[in-house]
Amino acid sequence: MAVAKPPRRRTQAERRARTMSKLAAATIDAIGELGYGAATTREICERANVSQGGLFRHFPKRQDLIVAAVLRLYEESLGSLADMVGRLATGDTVEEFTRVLVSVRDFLARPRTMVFLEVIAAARSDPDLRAALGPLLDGHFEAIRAAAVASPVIAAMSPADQLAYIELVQHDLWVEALWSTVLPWTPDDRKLTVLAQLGIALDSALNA
Amino acid sequence: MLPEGSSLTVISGNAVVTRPALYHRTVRDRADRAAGTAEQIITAAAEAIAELGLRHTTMGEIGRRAGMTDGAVFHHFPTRLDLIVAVAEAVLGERVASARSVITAPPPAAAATPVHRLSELRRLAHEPPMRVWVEVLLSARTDGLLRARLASLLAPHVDALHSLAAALPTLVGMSSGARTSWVDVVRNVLIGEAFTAGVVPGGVPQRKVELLVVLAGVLAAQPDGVPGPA
Repeated sequence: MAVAKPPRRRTQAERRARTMSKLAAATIDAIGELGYGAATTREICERANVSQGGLFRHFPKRQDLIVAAVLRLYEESLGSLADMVGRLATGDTVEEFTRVLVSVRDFLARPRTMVFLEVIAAARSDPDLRAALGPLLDGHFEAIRAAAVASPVIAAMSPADQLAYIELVQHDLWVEALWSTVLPWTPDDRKLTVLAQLGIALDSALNA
Repeated sequence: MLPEGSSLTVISGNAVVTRPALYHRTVRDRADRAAGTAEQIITAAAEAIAELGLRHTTMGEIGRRAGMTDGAVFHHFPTRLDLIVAVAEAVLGERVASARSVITAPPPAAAATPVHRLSELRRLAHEPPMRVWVEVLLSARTDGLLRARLASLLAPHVDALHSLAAALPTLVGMSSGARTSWVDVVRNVLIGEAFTAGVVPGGVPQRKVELLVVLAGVLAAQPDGVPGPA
């Protein structure tokens, strides 16, 4: 008879990483569902099934937890964005590029996008949080650009146009996602076709 | 207190008073005073929200800024929600009026370019009232009561923005569908900027404004408003 191997006991470092990850995930869910203000440490602990003491051992300040959550969300989103653009953006026709924008729009319409917006809004009136998020946000555009240039349409733009175009599309889709949580909303695919045409019109070779 | 039987509604700082003629004089004076006070409270609340965020804007804080007790604030706005809705309405009306004056003002001849007008509009997005609006919008996401109240309040302002846009020289001749898409993009981009300003490092605002003008060109090239092949 085969003897079942006793499960390997997790090391302390593994347990620690696991708890921190559970807490970050619970923070994302709580802010997404309840908003920044109502996502109290108590609420987060309940969702993660971790004691308040446990939380503060890993994250001495609520702000540390928020930063960990944003970092996690950020890496996740960038990974998905790179995936999406890499998979879809093979050509530079309006149809192909519109398809990329439609999937980015659908991706950003998830409640998780709202977590970013909630934290950004909170950071405006909270200098400590703003400072803590600073390093992450400083690299924000470069990271998105690195993922987006997999699309030949983005790659063909001058660096300044890449910056302006990506920001324009990002703001449009972010705010559209927010509106859609407040008012009845019909997605406007035609708008995305037009934004795709704008992107294509910015080809630096055409404009040289 | 207003005498029984009279009612007072404050809309964007304009008082609408229903009263029996008998009370003409006193009620009128009191109503004017009440409207003035309500307006003061709305202004104080808007300032607090822009500065502290909606979350930290308590009735006490608003009262302090308006120079009265929070009891006095509650006398005019029975709930915090009532006050927030009044602030949202005042701020929306004010922003639409500001946009109207930018769009309809004859610019100096040298500056009469579409980029110039849009840059002026963009400036509006960075002023405190826009921050207030962003806070309210975000808060409505997780606050069903606020969301329900905003729904009925928004439509006329959205309509006003769209008819204003029709007056922009850049959009003349564009189909109404195309114009709607353009106005939505511009509005979203400006709200997005108001959202991220001071927190997310800024990009190239001038170029972004230029891209919005290029976008209008792309749309204008489609007379029926339906994008054709590139």
